[in-house]
Amino acid sequence: MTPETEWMRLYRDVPGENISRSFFSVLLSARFRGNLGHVAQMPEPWRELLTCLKELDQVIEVHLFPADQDEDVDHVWVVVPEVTPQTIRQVTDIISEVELEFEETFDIRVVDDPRNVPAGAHTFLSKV
Amino acid sequence: VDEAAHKLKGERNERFIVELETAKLDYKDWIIVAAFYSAIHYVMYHFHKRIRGYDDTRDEPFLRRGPQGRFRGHLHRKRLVMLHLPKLLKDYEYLYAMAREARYGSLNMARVTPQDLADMKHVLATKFRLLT
Repeated sequence: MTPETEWMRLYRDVPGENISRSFFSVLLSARFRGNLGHVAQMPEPWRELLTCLKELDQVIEVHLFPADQDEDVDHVWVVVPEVTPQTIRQVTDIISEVELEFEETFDIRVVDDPRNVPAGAHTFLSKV
Repeated sequence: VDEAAHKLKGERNERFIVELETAKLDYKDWIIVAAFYSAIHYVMYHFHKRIRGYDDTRDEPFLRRGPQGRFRGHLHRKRLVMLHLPKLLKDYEYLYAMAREARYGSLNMARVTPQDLADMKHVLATKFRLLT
């Protein structure tokens, strides 16, 4: 199963409020809860970004900005347990590959405290 | 700022790194920030040399894509790196994120080893300084 297929399956399987506690599950922000097709409808670069970041064990959450669905995503906040040179390198390498593939650029923040992420994220994903 | 000034600033920042290391004080955060800003000046030197009509005070014409003014400042410049120096994007992105998180406090400085700093300096010397 390709990562993207797996991602889409996980997304479709999220049963609303009763979210699976499997190795990886997806939480939607309150803004998009109930709109499970949201990621599926995302333009490919953003979907690819989420798919690739999901593969990193250290990544706990991914937040995309701006929150307005009509605007391009250009800010990515990645929450990891601890921000080290190694975690920054892993995250930036992955995002760079997506940027090169799609000729998109993202402003990246890597933080260890989700409380530092500004409110109003486009999407909120979490490994639990 | 012209291309010669960017080269001088890049070299000056590299010398600053040496000064900080010589002081043997805990300036790892500033070493990281100086490394990134050195890289910035080397890539801007390259842009001046290789992009016809490049003017770093008026980047917009080279970067406009989608809504006007979308890419500004560092994001703006990173886009130029992606378009004109794609082989350096990963290292540029790494130096940028390191500098940012060192500056804003997310980076756990206790986990930054002398080897990490040596690796950053190596990247600076072998990839970015070679642009000049």
